[in-house]
Amino acid sequence: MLIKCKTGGEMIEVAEGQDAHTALDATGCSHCKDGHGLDVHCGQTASACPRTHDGACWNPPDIPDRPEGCTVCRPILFMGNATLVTEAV
Amino acid sequence: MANMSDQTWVNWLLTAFFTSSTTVTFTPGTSGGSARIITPPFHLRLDTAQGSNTSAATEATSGNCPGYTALGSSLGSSAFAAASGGQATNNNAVSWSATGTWTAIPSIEIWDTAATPIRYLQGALTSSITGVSNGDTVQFAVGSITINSSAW
Repeated sequence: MLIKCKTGGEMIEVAEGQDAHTALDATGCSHCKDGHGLDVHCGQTASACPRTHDGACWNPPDIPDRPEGCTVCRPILFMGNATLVTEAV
Repeated sequence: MANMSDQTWVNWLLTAFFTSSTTVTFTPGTSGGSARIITPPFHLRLDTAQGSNTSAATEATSGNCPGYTALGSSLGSSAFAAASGGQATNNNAVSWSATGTWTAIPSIEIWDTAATPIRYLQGALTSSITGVSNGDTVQFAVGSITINSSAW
């Protein structure tokens, strides 16, 4: 499935069953890496990331689970696919 | 030698059935029974339990899949592209916006929109849709649904 950063807009492929956050880290999330704004995870700028600031980073592995109520990065687009085969009777 | 259908005819059948945007009536000859009426637009329905070739699935509801509406959503005018090689794919994207947590979706069905809708196709998704929650989008892109009658 694809996940989309609601602030940065990046689309990232995440394997089935994988926590979306494991696909987003200081190097994988271009929103943070590119430094075009505050890191959507912690409010720090790119220069302060990776994780030189105080407090826990909201990216893995510090906090593997998405903080309650966080809607910044999570799966938002589920793509369905199917092949419907007509069978002999 | 196995029985076989001429593929040109199969292409024609698929195209006749699934590209029409207006009601189509097929009238059988003597002893052929009553006319069969196809009533577009076709709707894509999501299931919470797959059906079979002889019985309908358990359709998702607005209760277990908030944001989904019973009887599905339209596949649009000319639901499928003209068939080739015994196969046809959907012409239009269909999507739903979840307003809550969804039960898993393992399969889909395609129905028409007659007063008493008729089911035409059913089958499993390539992979079940799981983990949908409030604010997510479930989408079937153009070309994501294939009718494969090449072995018909």
